[in-house]
Amino acid sequence: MTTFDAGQGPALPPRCARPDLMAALPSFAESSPERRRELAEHAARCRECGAQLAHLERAQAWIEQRLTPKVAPVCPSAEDLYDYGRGPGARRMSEPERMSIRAHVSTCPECSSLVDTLAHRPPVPVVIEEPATRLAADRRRRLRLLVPLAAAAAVAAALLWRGAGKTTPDNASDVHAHARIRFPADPPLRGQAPSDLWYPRDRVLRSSQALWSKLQFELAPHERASKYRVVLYRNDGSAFDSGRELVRLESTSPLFDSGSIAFELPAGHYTWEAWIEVDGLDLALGRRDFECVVDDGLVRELAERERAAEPARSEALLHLLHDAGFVGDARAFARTLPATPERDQYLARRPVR
Amino acid sequence: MPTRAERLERALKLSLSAIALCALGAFARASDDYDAEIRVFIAELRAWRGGSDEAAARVDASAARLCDEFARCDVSRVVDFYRALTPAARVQGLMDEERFVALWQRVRDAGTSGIVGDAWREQRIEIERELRTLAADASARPDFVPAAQAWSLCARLGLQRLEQATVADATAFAELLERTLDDAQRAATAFERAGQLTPRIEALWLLGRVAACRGQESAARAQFEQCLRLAAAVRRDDLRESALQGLLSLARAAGDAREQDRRLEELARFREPSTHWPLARDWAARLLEQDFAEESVAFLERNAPPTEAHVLDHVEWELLIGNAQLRRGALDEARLHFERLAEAAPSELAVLSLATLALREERTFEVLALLQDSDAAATFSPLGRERARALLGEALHAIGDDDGAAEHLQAAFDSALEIDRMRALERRDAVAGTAAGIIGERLGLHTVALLADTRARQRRPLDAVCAIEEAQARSLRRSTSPAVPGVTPASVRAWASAYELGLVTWVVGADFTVAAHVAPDGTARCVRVEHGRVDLEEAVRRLRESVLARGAEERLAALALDLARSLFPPQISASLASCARGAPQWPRLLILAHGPCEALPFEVLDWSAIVGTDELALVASPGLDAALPSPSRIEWADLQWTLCGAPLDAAQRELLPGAREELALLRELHGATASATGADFRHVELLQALRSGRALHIATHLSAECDVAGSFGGASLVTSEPQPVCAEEIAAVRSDLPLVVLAACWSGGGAFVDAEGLFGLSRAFLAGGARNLIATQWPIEDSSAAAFGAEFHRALERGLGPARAAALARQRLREAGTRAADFAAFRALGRD
Repeated sequence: MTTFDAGQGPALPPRCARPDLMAALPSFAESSPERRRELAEHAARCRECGAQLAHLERAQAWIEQRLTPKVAPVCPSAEDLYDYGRGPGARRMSEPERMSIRAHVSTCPECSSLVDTLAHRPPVPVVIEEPATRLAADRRRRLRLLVPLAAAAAVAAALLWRGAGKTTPDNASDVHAHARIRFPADPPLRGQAPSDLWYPRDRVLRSSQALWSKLQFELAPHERASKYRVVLYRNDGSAFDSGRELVRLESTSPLFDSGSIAFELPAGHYTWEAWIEVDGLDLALGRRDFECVVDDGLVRELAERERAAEPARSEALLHLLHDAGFVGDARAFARTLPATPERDQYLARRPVR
Repeated sequence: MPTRAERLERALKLSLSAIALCALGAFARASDDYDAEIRVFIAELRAWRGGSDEAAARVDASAARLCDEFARCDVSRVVDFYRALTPAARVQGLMDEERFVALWQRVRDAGTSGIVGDAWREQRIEIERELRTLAADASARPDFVPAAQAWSLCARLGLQRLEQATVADATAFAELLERTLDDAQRAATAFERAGQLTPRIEALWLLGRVAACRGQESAARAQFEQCLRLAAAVRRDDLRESALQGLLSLARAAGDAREQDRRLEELARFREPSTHWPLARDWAARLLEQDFAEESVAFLERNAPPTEAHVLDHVEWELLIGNAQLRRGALDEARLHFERLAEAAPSELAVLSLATLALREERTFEVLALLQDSDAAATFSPLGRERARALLGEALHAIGDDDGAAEHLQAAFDSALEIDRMRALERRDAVAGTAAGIIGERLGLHTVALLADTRARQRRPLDAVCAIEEAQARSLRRSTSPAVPGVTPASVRAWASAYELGLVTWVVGADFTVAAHVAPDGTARCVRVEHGRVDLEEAVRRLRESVLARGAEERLAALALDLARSLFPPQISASLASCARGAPQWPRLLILAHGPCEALPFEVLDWSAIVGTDELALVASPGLDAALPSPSRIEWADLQWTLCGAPLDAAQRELLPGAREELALLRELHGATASATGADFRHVELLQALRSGRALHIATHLSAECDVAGSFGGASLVTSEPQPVCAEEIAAVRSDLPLVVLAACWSGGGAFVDAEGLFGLSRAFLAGGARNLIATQWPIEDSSAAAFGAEFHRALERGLGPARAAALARQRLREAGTRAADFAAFRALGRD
């Protein structure tokens, strides 16, 4: 490796004879080509300026490297993001386009939060007056959807036009503190095998007294689902035990509480089965197991980290839970943190295998 | 210039505002007056045809409104047709139409009042005679539309007989088929000439059903799809429903459960199961097929046909709910429904249902009494006779009469195979590898398991293995020849002798499984395992979940042990261990992974406990190939490679940066290779690589958005073009490649078809003739994929075959501390 200090080449004057040029070095990158040539020629003869210029070049290279995303150098256009987020009236993207934007969105919190905004749809109506005339079932269903859609769209549009849609957290300093949290990251995978049953999965933490966090069932949302249903079974942990039914839960939302039973779940193995009702048909979404694990060591460690200052406290708790395979508990904890793009991006992550 | 966020916000605002206005506007117009306008048009047209000249102007006005406001400009052709007639001809046409309507009402009334059997046969003959007289009269008149209506109804009546298989004589069947086709064609042509779109849809639908009866599946599908489009254009839900029912019946005949679900969900968008029995019936049957007996009962109770419904609807309901109760073990409830069924319709369905119940209640001799009555059995339909034979076989098996059981079970088995062969010959136009699960859907793997168990008890284990292999993954063998070659003891022995540890196979029935091992010397062992399909599916799911879970190593080991003990019971394990003693290093075992076993990660099992060594090479296959095994003359170290992948998106950005590095490394390892990477990785290049005969390494994404209709669930490989390479195209190429490495995610997955296995990219490559395939069983870490690829190719360079190279690469990754989720993901498929 060649350095200016190695003494190779002609001997250079120890002190700079052109302080005017030395003063211009910091703006080397923004200078005209002629000026840059003049500065470079001087630096080649001046030990002090040569060292400074080399340092500046290394810094510039480092900054450029940091600023250049490895996967997607440029953010997709607003229209592409809109189509990717499948907002109302979005065009259907080709698979390569979709993948490219997905790859970008996963590394760009700004784009991710914008896409998330689009992903939220108006709620399904609970009650609607029957129309006077008898309409075909699909037309009735269409109208059921149109009313809240219209209302939600009108409200959303009004809010946006008035600029009321900006999310300004109340406790700005708190958010600032939490914005520095490094959320757990998973290594990149080749592709996805998404399931409709998101959480709970794998391991759920409990102390000898109770579950560490509130158990929630999270399913993939289905556009036409009018009802989500979960059946929870307890099994003995062997491969073939079909289990004993504990409880049946129903919700109109894909994210729902397990109710009071959750806090009484003893350590052991559980299976949950999920169904949705779409247009009057019961559709099975599948089954998934999780284990309630008593890990007093981890619970103690979590309690110890509770005393640390933010953001070290939150970061430590998140990583301890996530890395030990208690991803549902980590997510439950993340939900208690103030909303930041990083937090929302973490919560928006879906299990992919 | 606005920022990115501002542009997005503006797009969002505009869209939301537009939606708000449109949606509120649509709601304000509370009812759609299309139906009302159609009613006006029909009434005025009728008045005009009846002689009212004043109505002519109102017909024109209505036609204009239908065109302007509802895009039904086709009605002007109807007006033109009647305008070209004289007033007398219009009146005569109306009179003919009234004759037709009277006949149509007689057919409808017979259906709603539940006239069946001989009474209906007599009525039908008379109605049909009158319809033909009407057709002859009206076809010679200027208004020939009533003739078209009569032909259409004749075709409907003919089809009912054809589809219900009430015509036993083959010559009579062929004649009726030709006559029905002729009726439907005449009707379609006449309606077209008269410019009548809506009645023409029915004629096209009839042509689709005739094509289905003739085994012309593609033609039938095309007709039904056309009907669906036209019915949507004329806003006729009844015709949409008929078209969907046609497509549904094709899916049912092909055993394509996914297609059935898709069509039923489509139907449910405009029909409600609570008021529409055919939808409720078909959905309940699907729930039952998937072993959701509890849910099926609840769904049927919620959606029972109303009291005033057709008697046959009630019969179907009793049958379905009785079977669902039987499956959930509520025998008393099942009996109640079956007895009501027997009372309402003392047909083969009632006899078979009561026999099934008696079998379940271990009243075996009652089963024999019900089914051994040859007079009663003679009246059964072909499918009913098949079911009766299978039930008789099961009853005899239960009382230990193995010879009697084998005779009946084999007869039912042979009959299903014959139907499958006939269907395969008829379906020459379909893509090879079509998911037609005739064995799974019609015969049932339960019967195959019973036959295999009976053969094992008769000390004929090789025959048991033949039955197991003959019945499963038939489409894989059909990919080389429509007439599927039979599996014989000689061919099984030949396959077993090609591997140092022989082969293992399973048939997973509803209630139990038969596991078999055939040693290289041809010695076979079969063992009954008391776990059925649901048990094994659950166990495999649990094992897969624990492989992928972090911190669940202990559970993984426990589950793997449970599964190993069940699928490799002591007799099989001892037989394998005996083969392993004295075998060369890294002995190979052929695993014919059927049913739930195909998704089982055998790679995480503790093989030292099963075979006595961890150092063995697994070769998995979804079934036996049609061709006999031939010794490999391939020099694995000297393979010529094509390296493909690292696709770019439309903006020339890399979709998989790791893939480029992986391919660069392989290029370095293998020296001169052909390659198509980055922008050059296009559709045409990948197809060329498939035809090249060179080994192929593909590093790209897997997509499920292929638009080609087929059996592989839309699976495709992403290229640098918008157009992916679909699994159907891969299967159709007939590549005969020595080795394909699919370094895409979850390339070994797919949609499950009963008795056929997983239909995805791997099956497409195998059906396309690839000798060996390295695929992944779930999504893998980018870095692990690259590491496995490097180890695998280095092992090949050392001269190892694909199975041993994959085993060695897995071992290296494991030794390096890689989690099971990553080292066990890679599976060697094919023949080695």
